[in-house]
Amino acid sequence: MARNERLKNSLKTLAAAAFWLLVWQGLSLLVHKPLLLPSPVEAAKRLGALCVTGPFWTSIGLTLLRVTAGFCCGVVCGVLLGALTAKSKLMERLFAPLLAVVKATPVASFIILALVWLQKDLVPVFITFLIVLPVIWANVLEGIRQTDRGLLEMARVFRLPRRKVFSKVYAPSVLPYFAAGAATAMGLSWKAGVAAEVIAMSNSSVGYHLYRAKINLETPDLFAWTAVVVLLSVLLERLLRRVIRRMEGRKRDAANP
Amino acid sequence: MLQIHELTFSYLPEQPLFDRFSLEARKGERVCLKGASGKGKTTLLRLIAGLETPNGGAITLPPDCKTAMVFQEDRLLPWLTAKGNVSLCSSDAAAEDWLCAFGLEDELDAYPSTLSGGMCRRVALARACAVAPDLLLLDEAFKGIDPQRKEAIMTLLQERFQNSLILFTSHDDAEIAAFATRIVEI
Repeated sequence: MARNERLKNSLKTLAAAAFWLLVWQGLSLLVHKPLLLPSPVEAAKRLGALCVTGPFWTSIGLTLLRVTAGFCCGVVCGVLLGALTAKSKLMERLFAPLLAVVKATPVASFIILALVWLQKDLVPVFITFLIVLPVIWANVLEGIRQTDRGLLEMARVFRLPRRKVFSKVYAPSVLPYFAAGAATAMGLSWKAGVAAEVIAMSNSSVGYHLYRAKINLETPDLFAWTAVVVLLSVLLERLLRRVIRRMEGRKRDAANP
Repeated sequence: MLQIHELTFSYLPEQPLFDRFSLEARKGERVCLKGASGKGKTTLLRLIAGLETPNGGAITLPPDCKTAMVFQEDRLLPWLTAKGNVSLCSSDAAAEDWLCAFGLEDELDAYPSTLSGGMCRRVALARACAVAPDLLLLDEAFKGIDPQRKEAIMTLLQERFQNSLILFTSHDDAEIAAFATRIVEI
């Protein structure tokens, strides 16, 4: 039953994707200028041609490395900051304005500044970190704040050790907030990381190839590389969701029998 | 064992809940705190448990006193099984022992969301009992448990906690008559 339902859902998703591919194909036929809008077939052909070259995989690998490194640093620091600011009002007052500024500042400003401060290969890592940090921080802080006070009082009366309060009370309460934040941050980190690669022209990167496609007016290449970014972003987001679902698996079963 | 000396407490300055309230209770007693709703029965239990700070006076307990409490709400962790909830505060063996004693032997691996209200109440009671407390605070702990089962649980608590102090609140006169050794009007 569940398998049939999953199959049905997958077919519906595929049908929606096919619909938008058809729209794209129709528009490209209407425009009839591959330089402005190549067809999905042309983009796929270009992607196929790129796939068999060595630099394609090197670029994907290095972009993946930069984005995931920035994402992981952002997650670790975001979780630590979330816990610190939830624990201390003083720390919250201290960090809240800084993080508000980080959230509001245009990514381009940070990229240009980072280009002055850092090696160009490190710019995407730093930018991804900056984008991920406030999202994770805000979600973890909210998750800690929403933890059931009644359960915390129970833990206090029964004198539960800190380790148990963290693993049995806080962690399961914060996990859904963390999961939502991590999924959003993952999508944003690809957008920001690749944008940073484009501006910084990082060596052997997807962003560099996007830049080259732009200056050489190779629009099919632009679409092919963009498709790669979308695909990687979706795949990593799914992987992340699966990991988090596994982590909260028992909790979800218990709450929704 | 428990000494409350001239306790003063209020949530709002203009509405004092306790004004120089004193109480002494010994091991082996089962003291019922009786009073109309809003008189401060739950607040007194919370003060004794250390969840509220008195405005004045003192609450004294032995330094190594092990306290357990059954709150008005079950306060079970929804992501842990019945056994997981009880063994959170005690050993696995004690958890199983108390859950079985309260007739939950078939529900050890059940999550709170799959249990009835009365069953959740018994899990919360088992959690408090399993720590072998010196001071057991029961805030309407028997609410929602069927009469026969309630009687058996009260008998069991009387037998097993002869050397502990039990403070409880209840609105059920029959329950108070059957369980209390002393009634304190608030």
